[in-house]
Amino acid sequence: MKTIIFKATDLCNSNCIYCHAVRKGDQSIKTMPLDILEEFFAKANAFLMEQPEETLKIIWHGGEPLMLGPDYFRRALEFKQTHCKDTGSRISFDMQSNLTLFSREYVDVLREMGIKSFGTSFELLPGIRGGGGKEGSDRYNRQFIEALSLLEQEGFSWGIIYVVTKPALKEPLRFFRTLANFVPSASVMFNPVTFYKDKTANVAITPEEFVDFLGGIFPEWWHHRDRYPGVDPFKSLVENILEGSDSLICVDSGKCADTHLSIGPDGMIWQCGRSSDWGLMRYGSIVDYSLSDIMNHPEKELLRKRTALLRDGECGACRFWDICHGGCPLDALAETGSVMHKSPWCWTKKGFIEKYFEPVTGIRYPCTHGG
Amino acid sequence: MRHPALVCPHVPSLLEQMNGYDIAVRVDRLEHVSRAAEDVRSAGGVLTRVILETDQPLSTVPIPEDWAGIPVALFTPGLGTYRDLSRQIQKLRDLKIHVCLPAGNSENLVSSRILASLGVTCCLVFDEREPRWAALSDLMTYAVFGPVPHAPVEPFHHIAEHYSPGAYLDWGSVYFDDPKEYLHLDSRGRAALSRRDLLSGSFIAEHISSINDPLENEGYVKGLNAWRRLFLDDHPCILCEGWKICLGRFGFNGSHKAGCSRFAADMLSEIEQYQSQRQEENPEGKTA
Amino acid sequence: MANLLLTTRCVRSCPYCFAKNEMAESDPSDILSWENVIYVADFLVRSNDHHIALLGGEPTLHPQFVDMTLYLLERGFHVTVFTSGIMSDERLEQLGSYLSTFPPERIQFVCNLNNPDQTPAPKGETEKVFRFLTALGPWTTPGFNIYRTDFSLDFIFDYIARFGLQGQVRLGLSSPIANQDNLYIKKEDMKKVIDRLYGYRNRFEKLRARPSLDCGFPLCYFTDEQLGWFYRMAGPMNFGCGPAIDIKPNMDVYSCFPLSNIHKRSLFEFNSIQEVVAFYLTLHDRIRQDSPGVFEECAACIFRNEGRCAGGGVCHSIEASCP
Ligand code: SF4
Ligand code: SF4
Ligand code: SF4
Ligand code: SF4
Ligand code: SF4
Repeated sequence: MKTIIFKATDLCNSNCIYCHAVRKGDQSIKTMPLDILEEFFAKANAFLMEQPEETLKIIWHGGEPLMLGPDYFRRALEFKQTHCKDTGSRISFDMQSNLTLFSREYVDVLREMGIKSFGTSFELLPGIRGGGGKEGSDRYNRQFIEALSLLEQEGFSWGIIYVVTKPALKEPLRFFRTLANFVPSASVMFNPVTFYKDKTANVAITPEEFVDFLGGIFPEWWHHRDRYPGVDPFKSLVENILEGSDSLICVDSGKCADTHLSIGPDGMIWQCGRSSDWGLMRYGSIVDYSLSDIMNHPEKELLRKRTALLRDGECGACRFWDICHGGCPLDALAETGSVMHKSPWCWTKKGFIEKYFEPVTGIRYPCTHGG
Repeated sequence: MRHPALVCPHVPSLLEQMNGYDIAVRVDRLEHVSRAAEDVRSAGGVLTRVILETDQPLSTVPIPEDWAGIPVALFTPGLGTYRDLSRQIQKLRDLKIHVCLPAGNSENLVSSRILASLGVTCCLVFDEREPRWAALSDLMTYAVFGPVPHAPVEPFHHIAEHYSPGAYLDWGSVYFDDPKEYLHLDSRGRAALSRRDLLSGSFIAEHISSINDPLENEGYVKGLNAWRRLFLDDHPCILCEGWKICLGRFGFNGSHKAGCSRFAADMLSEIEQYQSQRQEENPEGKTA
Repeated sequence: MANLLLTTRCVRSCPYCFAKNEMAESDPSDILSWENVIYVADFLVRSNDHHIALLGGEPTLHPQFVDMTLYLLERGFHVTVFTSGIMSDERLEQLGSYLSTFPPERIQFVCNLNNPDQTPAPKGETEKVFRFLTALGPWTTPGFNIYRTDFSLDFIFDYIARFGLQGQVRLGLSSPIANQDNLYIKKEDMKKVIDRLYGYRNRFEKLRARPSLDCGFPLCYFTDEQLGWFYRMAGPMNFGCGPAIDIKPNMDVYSCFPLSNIHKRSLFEFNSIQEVVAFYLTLHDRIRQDSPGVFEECAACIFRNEGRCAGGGVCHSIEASCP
């Protein structure tokens, strides 16, 4: 399966402190014109015709995708129906949204697109999400909460990605409890805030700090893991370590060259959403290239080589290789200027397991049972 | 969505407008119960409950025979003496009457256990008065783990049966306090989200007929998840371990401080244990 | 059948009292709670046991005596109440109006009677007992505890006739309480007691009243003639010894009052009454290994081997082994 982060717009109704839309593409095009949208579906069809086993998961992202308005999504569906007659069943949609613009007008079209669940974010700390300052956060959160009511009434579910910033480090458990209480499905993913170059001092955190933040939560989660089924990175780690699952998110998979792409409003294709935000790893325009061309782009080849290089090099002696694969190449590129290094966030895997996971669970990785 | 049932006062002219709705009709006199049931049915409403509110202890309420076939929820301040009630137990059981008792009165915690053990469904109503948490906890354990079959003690039974780790559990509907399940009307047909809103004159519609799809009513949608706003106010409930099975109800929105939180956390652990036991005994979820 | 103590308080102070031990250490607030009544009812239902005996102290002293009894009746139990018959007029009136609506097959009283001449009672007590027997005679079986060899039963026969009591007399042999000094029948006096009882045969026969022997009587002290007569009057006899399970208001359990000082456990430790009985049987067996019966002959006795006699009460064995 290929995951395509679909940034059809750069427009957003919010102004979150960690969102840096510093794309290097054509900044004059804020929203993907319909001809490019149509082109995309035509290319998607061609790609799927060539690859009969392949599927595409399109994640509507932004900016804020609901800035596009319901009609935009209806057009997307029309293009899909027109161009992907025989391949449409192999294309699925997801959405990452701040939800504040969700309204009843979206319900039918989103349902028709097969979207059942939304990825979103929530922040209790003032001044991080929303239009700036406490007032901005409050207003944002109120809109957000009202949208959630409607969303749930209409039968959609949602989960959140919580971006851990400096002010959150003090009270990990408090954040965990609040978030686990806030999200009905307890589907919460903790990610560290990451910046390219601009390390905004009052919010940026180090890998060590992130590990200790997770470590402040992990014993509570482990003790009650049935109660909080969806909390990541813990859930996935337990699945990998105890149940032998080989499903890994992009940064751990060592395979993102083969699984990820992103497209911007101007039709430019990038390695992924974050790479397009940071203006790194650009592969060319959808207008000029087929998806197969892009998948064979020399920079993608480089990423493929990276995995082998790290296995025999920087990560050679590491017992966590099978569940890490050297981490995210984009982070390595941003930090060192080359993708051919392991991620500077290496400690978030190694340190967390050694310092917290193993002592709390009494299980040493790799363990012999479970796969 | 399904239209919520309407909790109406027993005003025939109002009931006549309620053709096709699910109706819980509220009366305050024993003698009016069967008449109210008849009025709902003859107006074309679907009777879900007759709610009788009395300030008499249950043992002094002479339950008439003509309630057969009428689902009654009886709100009473207490049981009175068991010896006087004993003569009515059979009727309470046969007529499937739900006895609703305020949880803030400790005697009612014992009373609920007595009634449930005799096959009478009862329901604790949580309000401003703080319950005795240790006794409540004891009753909850009985309700969930009592080894001998007994009638439900609500809300514990409902929580034990419906809790799922991936969801909130709002159980206010066990005493008609959940706008997803019930809207409350006054005699003019004005609609409120709860009995409390009704009494304080806070309405979401001037007449129920204006609410076709409740989700189109702004006040309704706002009120539905009003508890979620607690997250914006740094409210003590949002950190509570038992939040997902309480949503502020046990402790009257956290006004009872720490006691409720300990209770709700204990309850959550017991429910988890109950469900995993049930799962072990019946792995495929077959019902007996 | 389990014995449930509603309260450990009592109104009397009998010289033989086997409950003395429990009474002495009881806290005045030690009365059975509703939660525990329900617990015990559930426990017995789960054990498929539908008989319960309510004891004290004096069980009718419990402020909710009538309510709890009605509750147990509603739960389907057959209830036997062991009482002195001494209670306030108000309580007696409640008994009359609430409990006498049930037939004697559902609720029965065993009224523990003392001979007013041999065991004198404070003024007014006997009148109270009479009032009780007047109100509830047809529901009541007289009970008598033998604690002296010159006991007299005449008064009981008078009461049976006068108050229309049930035609049965429960006869208890008062037992030594481990580590206490109450009055009881020494093993060497048991023969005398049996002969004296047999001496009342004409009066039993006249009233068609069945003599019903409680635990602890030694089989070998009865003559064949006596055995024949007892059998004819009351059917097969039991020369056994417990364990009768007593449950205190705080859910402590032990095997009968005289043994309450040793091996007290909590009902909460068991899952059924059968488990409790099995626990105490094992314990009795252990005691019996050191001291097989009240007499030396018990060790080799064929009746004991065949299980027809328990060799007197364990309570006597314990007494013998205590300094
Ligand atoms: S570059 Fe990093 S963030 Fe982007 S897809 Fe690859 S692993 Fe994921
Ligand atoms: S934990 Fe660090 S060393 Fe190990 S594989 Fe990951 S990046 Fe490499
Ligand atoms: S138990 Fe108390 S603190 Fe916890 S959610 Fe309920 S009301 Fe709030
Ligand atoms: S067991 Fe002992 S008491 Fe019983 S009959 Fe034999 S000798 Fe007598
Ligand atoms: S020990 Fe045996 S004989 Fe003695 S009182 Fe108890 S049951 Fe009766």
